[in-house]
Parts: sequence; structure tokens; C-alpha cells
Amino acid sequence: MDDRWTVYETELTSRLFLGTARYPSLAVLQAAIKKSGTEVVTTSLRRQNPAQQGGKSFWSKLQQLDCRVLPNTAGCHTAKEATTLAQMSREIFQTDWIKLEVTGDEYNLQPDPFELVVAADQLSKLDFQVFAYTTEDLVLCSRLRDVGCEVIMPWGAPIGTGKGILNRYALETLRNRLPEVGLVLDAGVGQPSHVAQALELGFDGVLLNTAIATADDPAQMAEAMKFATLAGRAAYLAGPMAESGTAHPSTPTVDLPFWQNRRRK
Amino acid sequence: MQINVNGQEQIVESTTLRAILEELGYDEDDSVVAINSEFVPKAQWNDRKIRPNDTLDVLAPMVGG
Repeated sequence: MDDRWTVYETELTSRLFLGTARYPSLAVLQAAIKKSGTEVVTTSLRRQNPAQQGGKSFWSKLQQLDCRVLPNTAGCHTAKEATTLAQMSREIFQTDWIKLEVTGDEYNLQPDPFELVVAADQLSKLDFQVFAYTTEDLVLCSRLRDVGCEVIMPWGAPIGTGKGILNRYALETLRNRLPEVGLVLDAGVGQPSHVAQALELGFDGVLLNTAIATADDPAQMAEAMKFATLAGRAAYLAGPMAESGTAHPSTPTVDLPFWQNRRRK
Repeated sequence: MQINVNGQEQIVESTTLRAILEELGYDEDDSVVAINSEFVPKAQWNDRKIRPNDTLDVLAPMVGG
């Protein structure tokens, strides 16, 4: 199935974005990336310790893979912090792409909707290409679109919970009301079936991390997620049947046997 | 002078950003810097003066979700 799509003028084949954290080793991460078929991986920036050089190994290995990098602003709590971190990311990762995260609540890592819109506006004006991580609120997502976000990434459930899609109605509404926006489900995915559900709803892609990284066999789970992405997308393109509140026999009901035993009720 | 680098108090002899990073052993290729929470592009590192009690964030690429 040739099903390319475009993200900020970049043509992609895979609809799966992968986070790179929480893997047992860099070798396992590399294996999972290859098995998933992803073309986009997320990264972050953290305080450097000259004695450890911990990030150097990660970054050099990541550069060997044929993937685009999507740096995040995880850990930022204000628009100003996020804008500064995005500028730092652009310099070292050499990309205008930024996964914008502004945390408003530490308990469930829920995005701060007010700071998020301010940050998205500032970054768009600085010529960043913003992938906004957000809740599933329609008005908020509309505001993000209005300030220039071509890709919006609503959560299915809080990060790392693996609960899947908690508010299917809201995600369906987003798809119907924002047809021009690239929608990528970000966070909350635990099973391949969650990925398939998002694609079946017409989402353009899925970003996930923990579900693969903490599986017993991350590479095999990465492959399962790839298959789920393909299945969900193919189903969406095929046009699923309409749901019905009552049963309808699939076997023809004309000329049924034992007609003489049936009485109309 | 005393400055704060990545949350730790440091005494440094140099006065410009690039020289301080070198003095403290940071790898220039893998570093990006903010001074007092403001991004400082690499092109400005040679000329950027550091003042006592400035706060430096020296960051490097890391895994992320």
C-alpha cells in the first residue's frame, strides 16, 4: 500500500513516530527503530556532565540511523522556557521541527493550555515547525491551528499510562472539525490495538515510546506497532461499515427452511 | 569568579563563554548554552562575557519521548 503523507513539506512513508527514552540499551533502541519502520524519532536536551559524556554515545548512534529528529521541550513549564529550549534544540539538532510540550500539571503531566498557545505562537513567528502536544480539547486545538501549527498531537491518555484512547468522541470530533490539520495521537498508547484505533479514526499518525521501550521484547513490539499502523490506516481508507444499534442477519432471510414452524409475533 | 553551571557553583578564571566551557571540559560540538535562561548561539560564544553569579545551562542531546 503506497500511502505517503506530508508533514511540513516533508514526505513520509511511515505513520509511526518513536520516542527514544526508557529502552534497556542503545542497541535495543536501534533494533526497535529498525523494526518499527519509523522515519521520525524524538529527542531531548539535558544538562551535560563533562565527566560522563552520556549523551554523546546516544547522539552519535542516532545519527547513524536514517531518521528525522523531532526534538521535544519536555520538562518546560512556561512558554518562555519552551521557546528557549526550542532555540537550543534547533542549533544542535539542525531542524526547525519542535515537539512542543509545556507541562501544566505534574501529577498526570497534563499540558498547560494557556502557555501552550503562547509558546506555539512565539515559535511559529520564529519560523519553527511546531508539533504541539496537547489535550484533546477542540477549542484549544483550534487555537493551536490558528497560530500556525500544521501538526497537532492530542493525547490518548496521560504519558506512560498505556490506557489507550480515553475520549474517543473528542478525537473523532477533532478529526471531523480540523480536516486540514495533521493529527498525531501522542501519549497513552499501550497496545497495538490502540494504534490501530487512532488510525481507524482518521488520525494521520501515532507517536509512542513507553509501550515499545518497556515491552519484554521491544523490537518485536515495535514491529507489532508497525503492523497496527498499517492495519488501522488501511481500514480507514477502506471505509468501515456504519455502526448499528440493532442486529441484522448476514445470511439471507428469504426462503428460510422450517417456515411452517414460525409464527409471526 | 563564581558562576553557576548546570546547578553547581563553580570558580572559573576565564571570562568569555567559550573559554569557560573549555576550562570546565565541556565538548563544544555537543553543547548548547543558555545564560540566565536566555539562549546564546554558538556564533556568539567567543565574544560573550560572563559575569559573576551568572547561571549557565550547558545542555547536550539525550533520549526523549
